Amino acid sequence: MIELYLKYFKIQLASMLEYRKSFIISVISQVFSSGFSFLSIVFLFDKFGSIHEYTFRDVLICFAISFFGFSISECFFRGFDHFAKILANGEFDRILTRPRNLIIQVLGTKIEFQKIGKAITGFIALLMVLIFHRELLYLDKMITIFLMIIGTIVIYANLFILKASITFFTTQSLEIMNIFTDGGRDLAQYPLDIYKKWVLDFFTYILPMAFVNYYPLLYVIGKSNNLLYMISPFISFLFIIPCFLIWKIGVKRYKSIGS
Amino acid sequence: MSVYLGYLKIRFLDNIQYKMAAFAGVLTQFAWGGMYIMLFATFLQNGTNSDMTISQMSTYIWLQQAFFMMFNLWSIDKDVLETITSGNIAMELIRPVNLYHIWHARSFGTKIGTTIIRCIPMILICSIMPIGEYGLSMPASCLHFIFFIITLILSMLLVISYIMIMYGVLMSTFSSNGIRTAFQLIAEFFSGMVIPIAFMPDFLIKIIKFTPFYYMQNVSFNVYSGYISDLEEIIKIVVLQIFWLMILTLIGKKIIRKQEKKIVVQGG
Repeated sequence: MIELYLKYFKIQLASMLEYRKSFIISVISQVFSSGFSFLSIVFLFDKFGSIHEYTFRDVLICFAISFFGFSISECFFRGFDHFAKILANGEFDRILTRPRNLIIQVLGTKIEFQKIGKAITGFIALLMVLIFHRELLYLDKMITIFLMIIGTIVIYANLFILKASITFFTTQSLEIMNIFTDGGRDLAQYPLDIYKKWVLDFFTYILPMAFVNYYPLLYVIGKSNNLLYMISPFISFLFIIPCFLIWKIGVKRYKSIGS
Repeated sequence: MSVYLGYLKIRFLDNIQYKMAAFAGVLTQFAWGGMYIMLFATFLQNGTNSDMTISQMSTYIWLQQAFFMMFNLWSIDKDVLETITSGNIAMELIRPVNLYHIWHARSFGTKIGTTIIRCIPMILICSIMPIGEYGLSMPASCLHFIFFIITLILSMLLVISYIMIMYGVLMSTFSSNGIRTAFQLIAEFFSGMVIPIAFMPDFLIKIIKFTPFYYMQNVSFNVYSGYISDLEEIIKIVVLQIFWLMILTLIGKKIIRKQEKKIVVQGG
């Protein structure tokens, strides 16, 4: 399975590198686009000082992890994001005829390497925080940050799969799902409790984003010493179950719609 | 002129067909608007460094979401870009009409069409939602409302003239995405789409005032909300909008005319 994916990976990379100039321009524009998001946080803190008792440092951790995790997911799970196209042009029928894992094959249809540009910005922001705030350089905090990143990638990857699975029932891509993917990324740039209470509730009980972004953050910035908060990103793995089930149901009742 | 109106009408009618897409768009716009309002309201409650009230900020955000399509550089007439890459531009060139005018009409029609089906339901729902200072307030006065409409129309024309410059630059390239993103990012950030210009550092606001971006959407929304209420200043803004509109149109026309002469039709 991994071998197959690596093969897809190599092909996608090779085809990307055929248009080297265009690729580099795309990466740079991705860096700039997330750079502007970063700049907007800088400006807001410059004007207002703090938000809800969170300092610039705290929000920067949030921003960096949210952007980094989202872009990595976006880069490798883009095939699911464009699933409506795969259904419509009959590509999925071809995939079904092959005796290989479906998910791996869909993943292989599109890998958007230029999204790495956004991840670079997130990574630089995270490095900046760690360099300027040595008080974060403890093993437990580093592990928590690492778990937050992994959890974020898992959550968004699942959201992309969920979005694709819903396409089985609607045949058209649902723009509304972007509220949860792109919207989630933008919301999670800040600690989730600065919004109204129901936002935090929603992201705790329905979409477990708070477990990768909010609760562990409290541990990292020293607002809570609860060790459970440190390992809470593992809850994001539970989110795989419903998403995978909906995908399975979708595949089962799939009738060809493309040509 | 009738040719211009013909193109405009086709694009307009074409774009008001997609009612379901517009409905989904409206829902998304609501989620985004609510999110930004919650975020900025928290900032405003904390610090006192901004002279904008929560009500003015909410009005700004709702208007921005309602007229999202008008100022969004991604929602442009895709056919125009395709004529450039597919070579169909040759067909346009043999017609005895000015290329700038055709593209302008198409972009204008698309913009009006996509904006109208989204902004009417949004403004209706926003103004009746019982959310107090977080909702869309009434315009500051009748006179301000009239100036809001005037500045809004000028803003839209300004955005289209900016898009025309982008088309002109894109005519000589094959991979349009990078340049398009650059045009979009700059306009989005400096016209106050990411965060309102009023929330930026003062030195930057002074600089942006010398660019056309300040006059794109920021001014008309602020005139509506009463954040900019001084009549003298509003008149000044209208004059500067017309000034920038003429400059950008001239630049666009020049670039497109120049590119027209050396264009190489690749096929199609």
